[in-house]
Amino acid sequence: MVRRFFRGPYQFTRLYKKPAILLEEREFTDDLDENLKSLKKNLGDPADLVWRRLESGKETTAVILYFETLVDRDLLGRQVIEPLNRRLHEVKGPLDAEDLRESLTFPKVLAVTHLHQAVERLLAGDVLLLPAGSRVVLALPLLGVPRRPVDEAPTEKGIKGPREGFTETITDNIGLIRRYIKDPNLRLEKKVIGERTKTEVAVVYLNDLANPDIVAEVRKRLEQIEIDGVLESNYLGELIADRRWTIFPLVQETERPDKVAAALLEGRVVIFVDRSPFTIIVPVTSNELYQSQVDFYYNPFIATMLRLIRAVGTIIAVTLPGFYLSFISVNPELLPQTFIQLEASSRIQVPLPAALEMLLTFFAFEVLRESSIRFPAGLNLIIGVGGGIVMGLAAINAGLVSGITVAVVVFCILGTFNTSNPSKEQAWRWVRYLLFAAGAVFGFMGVIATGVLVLAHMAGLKSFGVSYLAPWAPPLPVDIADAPVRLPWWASYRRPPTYRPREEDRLGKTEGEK
Amino acid sequence: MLKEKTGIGPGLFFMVLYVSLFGYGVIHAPRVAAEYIGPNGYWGFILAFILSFPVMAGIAWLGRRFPNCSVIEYLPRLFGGFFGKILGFLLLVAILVLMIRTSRIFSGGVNIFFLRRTPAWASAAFFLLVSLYIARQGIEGITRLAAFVFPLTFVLSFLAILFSMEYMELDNIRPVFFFESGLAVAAGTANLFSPFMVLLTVLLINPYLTRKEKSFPVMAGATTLASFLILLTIVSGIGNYGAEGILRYSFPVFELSRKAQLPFVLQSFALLFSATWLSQVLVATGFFYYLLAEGAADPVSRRTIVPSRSAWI
Repeated sequence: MVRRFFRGPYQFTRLYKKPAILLEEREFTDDLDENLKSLKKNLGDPADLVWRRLESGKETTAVILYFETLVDRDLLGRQVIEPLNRRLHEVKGPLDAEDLRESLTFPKVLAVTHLHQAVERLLAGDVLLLPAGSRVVLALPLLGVPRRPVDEAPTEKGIKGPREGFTETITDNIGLIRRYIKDPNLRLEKKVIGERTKTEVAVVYLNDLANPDIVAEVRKRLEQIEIDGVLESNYLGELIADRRWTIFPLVQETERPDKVAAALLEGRVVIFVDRSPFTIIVPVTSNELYQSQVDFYYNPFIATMLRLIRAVGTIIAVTLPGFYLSFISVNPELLPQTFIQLEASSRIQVPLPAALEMLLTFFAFEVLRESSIRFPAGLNLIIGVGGGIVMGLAAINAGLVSGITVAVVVFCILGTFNTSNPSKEQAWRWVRYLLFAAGAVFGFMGVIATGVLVLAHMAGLKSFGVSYLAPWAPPLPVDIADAPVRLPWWASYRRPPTYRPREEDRLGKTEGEK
Repeated sequence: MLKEKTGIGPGLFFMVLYVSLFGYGVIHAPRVAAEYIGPNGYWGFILAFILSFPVMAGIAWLGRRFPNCSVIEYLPRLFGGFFGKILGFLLLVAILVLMIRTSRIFSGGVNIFFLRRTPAWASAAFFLLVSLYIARQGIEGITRLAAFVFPLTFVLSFLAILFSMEYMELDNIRPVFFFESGLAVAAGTANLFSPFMVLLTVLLINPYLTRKEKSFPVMAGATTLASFLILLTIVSGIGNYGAEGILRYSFPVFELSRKAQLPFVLQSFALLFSATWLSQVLVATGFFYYLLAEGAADPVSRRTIVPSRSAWI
């Protein structure tokens, strides 16, 4: 225990050692029926696996094999079956693999020679074309699963700026970014992660801006992941984070393409995960999670005010319960007389001790908050707001809680949404209860000491080698100028040095230029 | 392209030193000054401050002479194996004593002013656990934490001391150049030198400093800034209560910051001052913890060795 307490810096280690699935890694034979049998055997002959023989006279020329639940059947008919039938009709004899390939007007045909590769392609939504008498199988990408249209990001809405949000389809998401950044330096590296889910992951960065050490580190950490399935980007976010035991998000997740484009222009690295509308941006600092992309669409003075409201609002929302409790239950002498009288008169009928009263009020509102997420859309506002008001008033009138306590709790629960990142908001929820407990036991000084403890924890965090408290600690004056205030664009000629970009000037000189 | 920082740059060095010097030095300075020297006890502190410069120069010189070693590593080279290790041990003991003394003072102060019904051991244990957690973040984490708390704590401490001067009686600190005896001034100066003992920690963090050539100006800057605030506190303390009056209080600095008020918001400024002071003491104690653990590991030439570090804890 003691040994672990003073351990060295966190080392990234593998989580899983053994591959989950073992497929036969043998080559195809020239016997069509045997190949088909092997494929069906490896897949367990599921009900949605369809095969269709293409016959020329009495002989089978080829077999088409696909999952009817995965492929676009319309495209399959128009681009594969129709041209092949036409060709068979013209030739009136057997076709070899080369003939089949030539008769297709398909832009991308992959030749597969091994059984396990064919199974992987089939599961990825490809149609397999097995020519008779050939050791090569043709894979045609015809994935046709339903797609959600591009819509506004529900977790990061803004009054100004683009209304686009990412969807669950990785190609659509990358396309959205390509529309923002038309730069040949935009690099895209694809990987497949997840033994069973074979989730497509794309690492995107601007080659001339992103720090090569950070790009290499992202690659290394992704390669080290061995997991059975990746269903959402948070799976990767957790696995590539610099430290596992922390409540604070060490990667930034966003649904907004404009935010991702801005991050790329700052020299950061972006990770797209198929089937997740949330994209990961690394490195990240705590300060970054208070900046909204919408800040940059407003006048700098308005944006600065919004940033300050966000930061100060969050600080108050997180610390207020702890301070309030310490002032009313442990250190009332620290408050001015009028406040003490006000508080005492509002609590005169309350039978519970202050800490318990506040804890129960918090619990009631947390339950309401959690259940309001699952209310039907039309009823959400009525039941959520109406229920909350009715319940709060009823509790005050019954003398169960004081009005000030309800005001503090409601403000704090709503105030933590100030942060523009959902993961950070959840982290502050934890901290709020920690400070609350410290305030109940050790009063004002307990809240301060616990606040220092939380700050110490944050000071020890890094995201891909970048201090989590940057640009405040270590202090980077260039970045600090753009932290509480939003610098006007004419003054933002430098990229944030916090992320160590290769080129700090936004309009950097070209080689040889003086 | 900036490179990742793994050591302590001049900025972080300045802040961690300031936080430690002020946190460990401010609380008893007015009382000691008044007790040993009297109404113009601030002279003792000024003399102690002047005396700290040769000490800083010596520390900076040693740092440049042995750039990649801590004092525990190079003492045996200077004084031979046995005496070197004994001296290193004594240095660690001195730091330990300073840490224990200040920890005791601050948990005592907190108990008297904020947690009267809480057993002293409970609050002391809580604060020490927080310091231990701070120590666990390593030298980078500690210095970053110091950098984070520095601006706010500096401003609030300065304002608290400044506002407390509102009710100061100038007659309490006059005559300015009157000394009852040279011996009293010498004794007071020696006692008021204790805040500057914090400078000894620089001997231990020397290998981590990235710009050793700047260590003297940084030390001088941090010491001057912290000393300026401590001096203001002494002047304000004696000026408010008089040299004899100040001796009535166990924690005159807290009493002093009670004089400043934020109308309609806080009963007294003591609240904010104590919050900033506690933050600084916690960071400094975490820093000392870490250095003790690090120093204890060095004699066996294994900076990462764990059991000897934990033994200190």
